[in-house]
Amino acid sequence: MAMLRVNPTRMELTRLKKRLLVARRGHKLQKDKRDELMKQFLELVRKNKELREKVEKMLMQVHSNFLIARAVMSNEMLEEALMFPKQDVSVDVSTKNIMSVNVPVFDYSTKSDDKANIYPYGFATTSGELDTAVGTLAEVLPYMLELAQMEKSAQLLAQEIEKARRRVNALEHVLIPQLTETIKYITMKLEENERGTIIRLMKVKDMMIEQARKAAAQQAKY
Amino acid sequence: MSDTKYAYAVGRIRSMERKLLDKIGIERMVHASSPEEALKVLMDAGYGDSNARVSDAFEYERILREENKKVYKLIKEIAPEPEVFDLFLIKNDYHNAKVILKAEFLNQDFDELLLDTGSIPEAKLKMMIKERNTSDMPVRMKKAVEESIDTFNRTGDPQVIDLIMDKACFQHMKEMAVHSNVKFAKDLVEIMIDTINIKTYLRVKRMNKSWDFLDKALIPGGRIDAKIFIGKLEGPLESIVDELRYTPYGALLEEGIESYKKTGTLIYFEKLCDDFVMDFVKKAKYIALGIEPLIGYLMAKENEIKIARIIMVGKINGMPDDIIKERLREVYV
Amino acid sequence: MENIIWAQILLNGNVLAMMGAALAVFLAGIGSARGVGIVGEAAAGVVTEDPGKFGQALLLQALPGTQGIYGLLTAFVILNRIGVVGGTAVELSPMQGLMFFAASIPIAIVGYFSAIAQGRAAAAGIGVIAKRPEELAKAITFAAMVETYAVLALLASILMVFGINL
Repeated sequence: MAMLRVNPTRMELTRLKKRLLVARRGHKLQKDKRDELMKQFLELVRKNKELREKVEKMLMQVHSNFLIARAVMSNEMLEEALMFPKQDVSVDVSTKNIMSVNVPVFDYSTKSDDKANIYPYGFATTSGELDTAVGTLAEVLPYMLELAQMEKSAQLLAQEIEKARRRVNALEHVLIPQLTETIKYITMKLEENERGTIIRLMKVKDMMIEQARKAAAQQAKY
Repeated sequence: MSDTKYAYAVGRIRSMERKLLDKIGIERMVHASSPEEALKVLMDAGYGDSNARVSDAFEYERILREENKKVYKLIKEIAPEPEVFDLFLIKNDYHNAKVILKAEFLNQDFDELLLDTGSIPEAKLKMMIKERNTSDMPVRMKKAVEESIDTFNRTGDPQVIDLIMDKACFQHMKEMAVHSNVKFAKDLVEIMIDTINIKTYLRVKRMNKSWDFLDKALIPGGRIDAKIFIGKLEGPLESIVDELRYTPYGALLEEGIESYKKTGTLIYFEKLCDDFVMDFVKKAKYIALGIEPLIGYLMAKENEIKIARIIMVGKINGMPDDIIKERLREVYV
Repeated sequence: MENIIWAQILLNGNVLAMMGAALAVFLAGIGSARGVGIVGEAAAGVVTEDPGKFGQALLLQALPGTQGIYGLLTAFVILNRIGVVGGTAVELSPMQGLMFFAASIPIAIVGYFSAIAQGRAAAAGIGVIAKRPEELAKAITFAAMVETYAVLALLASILMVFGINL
């Protein structure tokens, strides 16, 4: 296991121990965040799927209605009927915070309040199927906006989850082992040093005793 | 005995009626294995240019439009009083006028939507509307254009353009039919107005609009008084059936509304309306001399083009054969 | 005075008989011409689209032509009786002249109208052969039914002409 390049000093050891503590706490927090994000994400994806199926079903219906309208009206007549839209729709974008992720929120507003005021054409040259198609399209618009909002949120959340996961992994598999290893190394190094000192001291003591003994023997000779 | 001057025209029409697609031809189109096959049946029936075989099924729209043009050209060529047939062309003029007006209000170019089958050349019409020089226009159209511009400027609502123009178009048609002294044409226009009004009534009712909107959307000049529709806007659908039971439209309404209530769509109702008009037009088959067979042929051809379009759209989009068949209109021959 | 001279000329028996003969030819003739004309136009329309139908169309076109022939026939018989064509000229009383005139009326008037009617029926027949060439016989039959009344009128005219005592 890789190790940090540090001076095996006691000061360094305290510093590293502090870092390890922080890393452990960070790891726990990130892990909690990841789990919570995951929960939110799964919820969102489930709702998203439901909505998506609904929107797709409605769009399919619009498509088939248009097809019939298209079949009974000539191209020019159909295009003329739809060339000048009657209702104006504007979308406001704001953001919402989910677990420190900023997701977009779409709000739409229409120019006129009358829900039935969406048909921009006359009746004599158009088919009734066109009404159904345009009506369903108008109905599907809020859902489509919601869907767009959800999909973007899901995407952002996924990114955030990925980030949190990477952080957790980095802490768990790199930083924390590294720190523990280094701490272990420093501790060992320090212990080693200590032992060396003790040995040295013992050796010095032995040498001093030897010298003292030699000196005593010499004195005795004279 | 002015009908005898139609002898030549009727002779030619009778010959050409043989080439109209009959039930068998349509069946062949519906059951064609591919859009290209279906188009080939059309080409065999004399559509398009016989020299250049068209292989691309998506060309069908152009072919149908050309066929339409060809028919009008032929009728105008052989008819002793070609101006009577302008009656069937002015709807294209009104369509062009709508496109020109809307394009102007939108400040965009929509020239590709203009039809070249009107009684007034589309470029001329465009100039007239653009320069507000309406003195050469038929009175009815002139009034409608002026009213559209005025109302749009006040309300900014594009729908009023269509409503005013549609109304003017059919009133204009009726005026021309009355003026031409052809009872068949007058009856035909009246039946068209009535069927359109019935459809409009149902559509407005479905949109939950108010009676004054319905009043704006209905076309005067039919046999059913607009007041009946306005009076029956509220209340159940059956009340209109009861009201009109003893008119020629009784059976049509009864069957159509039943299907509308069952399916919630007007597809079948629209088919019934077209068939109703066709049934009337079919009377022309039994008239030996006169303008009627010409009108009949014209309507038959328009109907055939409609059928061909339904089949081609269905084929290209892979609709099942029986669904296509449900949508098909009755044929003339 | 002038009026009396004119009246004398007009009431001359021979003049009246000649006028009868003329009437039979020209009314029935006009009728036939119109009838044949109508059918001819219709036939031309069909032949424009389908030149192969010429023979059948021609057959139908000929049908309304008979009234003209009947008119001519009646005129011949009258002229023969009053001796303008062959035989010796007979001096007719105004009464006899008027009778000849009356005898020509059936074929003249019936000929005129039946020829046009037949023309229309035959034009309709052209419509039949335009669609179903195999039904030519039926188309001819319908048009030929009109002929009956022209024949009856001819019969009446001829009987009347021969019934006049000279």
